[in-house]
Amino acid sequence: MLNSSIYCPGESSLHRANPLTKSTGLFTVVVTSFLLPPPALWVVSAIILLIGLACGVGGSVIWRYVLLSLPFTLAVFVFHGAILPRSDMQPVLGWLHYSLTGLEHASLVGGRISLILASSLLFVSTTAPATLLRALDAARWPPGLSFLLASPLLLLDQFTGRARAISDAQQTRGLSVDGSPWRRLQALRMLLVPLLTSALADAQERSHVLTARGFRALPYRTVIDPPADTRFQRFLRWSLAVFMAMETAFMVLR
Amino acid sequence: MIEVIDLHVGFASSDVLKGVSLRVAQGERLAILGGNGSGKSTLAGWLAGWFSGGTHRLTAGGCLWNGKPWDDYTLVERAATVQLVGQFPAQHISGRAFTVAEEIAFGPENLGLPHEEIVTRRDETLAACHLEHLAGRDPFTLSGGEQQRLVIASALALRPKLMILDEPFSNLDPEARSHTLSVLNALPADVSVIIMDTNPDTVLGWANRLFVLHEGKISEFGNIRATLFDPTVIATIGLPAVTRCFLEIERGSGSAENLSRDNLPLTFVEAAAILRRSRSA
Amino acid sequence: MLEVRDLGFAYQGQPLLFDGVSTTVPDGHILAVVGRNGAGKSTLFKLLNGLLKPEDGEVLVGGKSISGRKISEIAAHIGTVFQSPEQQLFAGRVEEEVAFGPRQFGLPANQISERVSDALNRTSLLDQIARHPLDLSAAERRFLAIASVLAMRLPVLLLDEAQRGLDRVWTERLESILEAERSAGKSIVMICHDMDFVERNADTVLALGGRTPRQIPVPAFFSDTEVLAEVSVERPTPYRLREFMT
Repeated sequence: MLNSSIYCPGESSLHRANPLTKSTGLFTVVVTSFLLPPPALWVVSAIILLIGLACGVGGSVIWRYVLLSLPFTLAVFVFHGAILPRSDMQPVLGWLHYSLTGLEHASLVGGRISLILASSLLFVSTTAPATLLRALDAARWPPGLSFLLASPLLLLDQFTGRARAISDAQQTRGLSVDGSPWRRLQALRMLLVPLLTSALADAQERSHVLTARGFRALPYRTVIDPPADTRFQRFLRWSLAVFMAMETAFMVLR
Repeated sequence: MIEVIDLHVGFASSDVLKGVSLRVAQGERLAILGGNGSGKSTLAGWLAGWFSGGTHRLTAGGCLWNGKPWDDYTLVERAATVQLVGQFPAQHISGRAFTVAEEIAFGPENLGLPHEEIVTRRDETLAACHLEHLAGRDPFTLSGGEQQRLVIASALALRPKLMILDEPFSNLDPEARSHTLSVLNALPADVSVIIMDTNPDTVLGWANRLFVLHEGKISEFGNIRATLFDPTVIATIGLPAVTRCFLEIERGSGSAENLSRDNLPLTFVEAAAILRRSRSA
Repeated sequence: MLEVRDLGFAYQGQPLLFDGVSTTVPDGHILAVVGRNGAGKSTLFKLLNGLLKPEDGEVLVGGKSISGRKISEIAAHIGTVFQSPEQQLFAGRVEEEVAFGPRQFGLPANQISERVSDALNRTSLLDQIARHPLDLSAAERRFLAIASVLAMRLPVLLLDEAQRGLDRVWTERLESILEAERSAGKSIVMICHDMDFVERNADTVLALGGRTPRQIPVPAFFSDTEVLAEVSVERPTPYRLREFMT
């Protein structure tokens, strides 16, 4: 999930680039990942991690990349390479067998995930959520969409804080979180009912507030400090869009 | 200006407002006192045009702004005319802004105002509500009192002609309460302000006119003193703290003066003067 | 009786919030905890009702230490009324909400229903017995939370800003409940910002945020200008009025 804490402030050219250019770049990488052969996927992943290092966000990108991709990559290689029965299974040692085509397939799937993960992490590490929202507003995207992006980031802490407060309040009333399944079900109800009703009350009040402040009264909003954009970046975005369209056409037609 | 004509509103199975009429002129400072559950929040919502349907049913009457009901105005016009500040500040933060400054600019940005205008409004409002030192903070990390000032600032940035505050002090500690009150004292003179409260102390000295909402009906008893010292008001809202305390001391000592609703003290200075006179007498 | 002995506590990575805090709330006594925001009033409550574990010292109820016990066990000795009742109301009916606590003790049904109607009667909610808790007004919900604690009939009561936002009628109801609980020999601790309320109802004050938190009788506390300034607490109206007269 997109998380405001992943963002690492910086002054690199990737940080300064317009978020729309970066997101177009990200989408291009995602589409292209379906056309690249396995070795290229891993090479490009490595290049993206190196770009992260060059932009000063390498540390944050790389440890998250390792943390998130390692378990998946291992599982894919073990499952496709050694467990899933294939015609070319070769014995290695005792009961252990491996399949070359299986390993190749694992390398393809794992490489794709690795590439998408690395480029997404690079994007969120170099893009402040607030800047992304301003770019969307400046491009006159519907305000409702940017709200859907922003509110989970902003309201999540509040929500978890309230969940904790509810759990505290119920425990001091004698609610015990261990016991028979029936008691646990009762416990769950005592935690979920107040959480949901208060979340609903908040949502209702907030929707009034948003309307009263003119949110979505117009199809667009003014943005007081829109992220910088250049003619070159606009040209780049259009070129990438055309390139993605050609890739998609190629995939469909081949 | 706003005019409420014989407003009848029901919620769930009960009638909350049973014929409320009220007229507020430009620049007036109005306080509506009412006990818990007297319908203050419902009235506030209707004044601001928030409940034109939904769970609150209108059974008769209505609210007019310059002669027309809220439904006849566009959302942009409404946002620039009336703002409501509620009792729980955290619920009134948009959830769309990452900083205090962005939160204040949020409303004006929605109205599609020119760039310079928004910046001017944002900076003026930050200063007026004493929020400059918090401009870069995440709104949800502020204290309750700071959040309440932010909500007032975000409403003010839309330059409304009418501000309604529903129990703005009841969830604040005394220090935050006096900060908020100083912000309210400095509101532009041409803005009409209505505060709903359960307690006479916070609005006394601020309001030009005092109303009481009781059992779904609203009354104004001629002047502020007459309202405060009306027996039903004393029974539900209670006396101002100074008056109450004065009467307790006076009852013990026995005053030489003839006290009535016209000369009962409302401030410390008045109360102390009477007590000193009766002591020397 | 509630006793706090040499309580020490710090949040992780932060300086000590409490260092050797001691206080005693005898049977039939009301202690008010006052101080500015962040002085540790809510933290103290969490240390009393077991939501936080003290680093030093202990909490005793009726002479027996409860420190280190499970929260649900401490709940059989100490009842807490939190600031927002919305954080605990879960039942479909007022009656069921109040019955939850007594039911934890495994009482027979007739005793539970006797306790429920008694608690609702004392909180003026008896005619709302069949309603949905969320259909009540804000003040009624607060009193429903109070009724849920009263029905448990515990020796120690903690109230966090229970007077906040109440009108005269509800404030007087709260004051008469406090008085009745005091007469019944309960040890009561309340967090309260409203100094007039403290002056009218409390016996002693524990002021947090100053150099050494001490338990002081109400008249002595409000006459001590130095301590009042240290913990930034306003004087109650009667004291201010007397000041104006001299």
